Amino acid sequence: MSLAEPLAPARLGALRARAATPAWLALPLIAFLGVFYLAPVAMMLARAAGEGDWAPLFAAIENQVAQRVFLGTLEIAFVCTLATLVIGYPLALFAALAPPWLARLAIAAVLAPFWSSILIRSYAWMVLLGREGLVNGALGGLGLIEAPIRMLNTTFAVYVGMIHIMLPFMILPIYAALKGIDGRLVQAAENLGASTASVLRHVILPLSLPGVAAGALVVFVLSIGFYVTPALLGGPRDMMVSMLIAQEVDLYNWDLASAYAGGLLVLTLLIVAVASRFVDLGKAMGGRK
Amino acid sequence: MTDPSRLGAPVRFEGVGKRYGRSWAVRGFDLEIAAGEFVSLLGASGSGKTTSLMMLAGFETPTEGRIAVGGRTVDAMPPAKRDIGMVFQSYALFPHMTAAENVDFPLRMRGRPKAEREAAVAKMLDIVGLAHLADRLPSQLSGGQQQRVALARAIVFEPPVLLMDEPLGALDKHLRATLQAEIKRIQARLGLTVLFVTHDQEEALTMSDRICVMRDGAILQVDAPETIYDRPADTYVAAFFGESNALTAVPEGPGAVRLGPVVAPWPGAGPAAGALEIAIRPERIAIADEDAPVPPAHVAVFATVRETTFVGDRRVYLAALDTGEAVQVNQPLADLSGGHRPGERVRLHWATTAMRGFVDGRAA
Repeated sequence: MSLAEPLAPARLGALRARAATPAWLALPLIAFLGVFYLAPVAMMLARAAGEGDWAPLFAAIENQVAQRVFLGTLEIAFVCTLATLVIGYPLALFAALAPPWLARLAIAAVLAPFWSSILIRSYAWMVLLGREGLVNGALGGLGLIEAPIRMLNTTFAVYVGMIHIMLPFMILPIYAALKGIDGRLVQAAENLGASTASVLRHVILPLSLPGVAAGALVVFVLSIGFYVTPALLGGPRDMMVSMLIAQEVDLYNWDLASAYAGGLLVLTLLIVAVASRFVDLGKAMGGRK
Repeated sequence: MTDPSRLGAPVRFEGVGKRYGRSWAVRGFDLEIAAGEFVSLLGASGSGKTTSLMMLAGFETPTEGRIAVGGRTVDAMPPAKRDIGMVFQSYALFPHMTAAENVDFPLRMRGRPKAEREAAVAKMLDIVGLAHLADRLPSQLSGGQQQRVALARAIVFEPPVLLMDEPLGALDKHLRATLQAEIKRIQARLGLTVLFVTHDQEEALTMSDRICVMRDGAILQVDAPETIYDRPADTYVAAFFGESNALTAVPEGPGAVRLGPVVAPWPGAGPAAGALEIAIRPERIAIADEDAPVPPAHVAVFATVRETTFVGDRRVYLAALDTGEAVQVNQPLADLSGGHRPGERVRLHWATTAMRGFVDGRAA
């Protein structure tokens, strides 16, 4: 070994060699998750099973309100995913193509909302979209409307709030995928006669698809379980599964709430399982292959 | 050049320069390349060879000067409109396309009909010997195979000019030699004008019609390989190509120089005063017994063998002249008999025409 070689990796390697596999390093986390996560989930699923006859689960499945809420939740999640993709992809592309200082600024602007909680951001939208809110005030002040428009407690408000919160989860993986594209491929495409539109379509877009898939998956999965924003901004028709569960909990219908939660969990796992066949999740989340 | 099957177009650089901030990457670059000619840009890294290539491809804009292809100025043309084939250093194959799709890309961008494209791709993959791997992705191909795909992609649309940026740099020696021959064959067959960037002087010598040696953004010499090797314009070029012995000489009247104890005829004018550096290739020097006869028109000096190394097809001697100067002699071996031992007194001799003189580094 030469003297110039850094020492740390070698020493870590030696540690690994002695301990064979350092699986025990994950023990504290496993213990924590076991007590505070896996056990409650198991208890919840057990409740959904009833006395072995799965009665709560069947009740949940047969409940027409629940069916509507599940379908509505899927629809909201789908629209949010599509909207964040349509809004987020151009911005990610802009940040990827911009000079470094501008790209840093754009990404900082995308990340800034992360510094405040979802609850506060949802309240902010209430202030903006309310009857006496800033948007109505501005439109009225400009004489564009005579009476305030009802925006708060509508599906529109749910979309505005959720899309705003979900955008970074779409933009960041796409941006990472775009930044990972070798600039020489773009040069090669241009050299071979491709117009700017053709470079985008045949080189940049296909090579950024893993980022798109990862972003879409994250946004969709987060959206179907979303609670705060639709609860604060939506109306009674915009009930989502999480709100349905909360409602049953409020009514002490623990078994039914567990059944709904179990259904949501299974649905989410199914989506992740299907998606993971197409997306290298570890890689998309910044891990190494 | 009227033969339609010959693709090549002439290329002309006129006073081309490229400045980054305050420093010039390339300056005063004048080069004329004939249609169908194979020219190498040779130099160390930072000599400006890749910058020159990128200006021709359209990825760098010259700060000054003019570049013309086939008589037309291309300076205002975007890269996509230049119709110049290019093999990138790292191949830059599209990783999400198969070998065939990569080769098809330039044809598709030109909107050629599908049947014509398919035929052209199949023919080109056949030329580079990859017909059986058409459906593989680049990641499923070896380095040499990727190189061939890159070459096929760069010439399938029949560009008049092909640029290659150290295309063989990442390959092992044996494969490199095979591909060198293959590239030469395809180039000759299609009559392509090729501008080839390399830092490997052997590659430049074996492949090029002419070599353009660059240093610090300027051209030192443009000549045929034989001329570059035999009559280098300065000591830098001489050192770049092969080995060379440098001996100090002083003028000794008109038409003669003094090399230590001997006086040699010198055809050039030589400097009026001061020293002259004489360069002689090691393979041009003969080594013989002390009392062996010297052929006519040869300069002979006595020396003592210091080291001898056997390198298979030749013996390499390090000998010391009586002036103390060290001289390397490469003796080609027809058979393994003979040879001189360290400490032995020998006579070194060479034809007067083997000597090259330099004054202040420039050829005299």
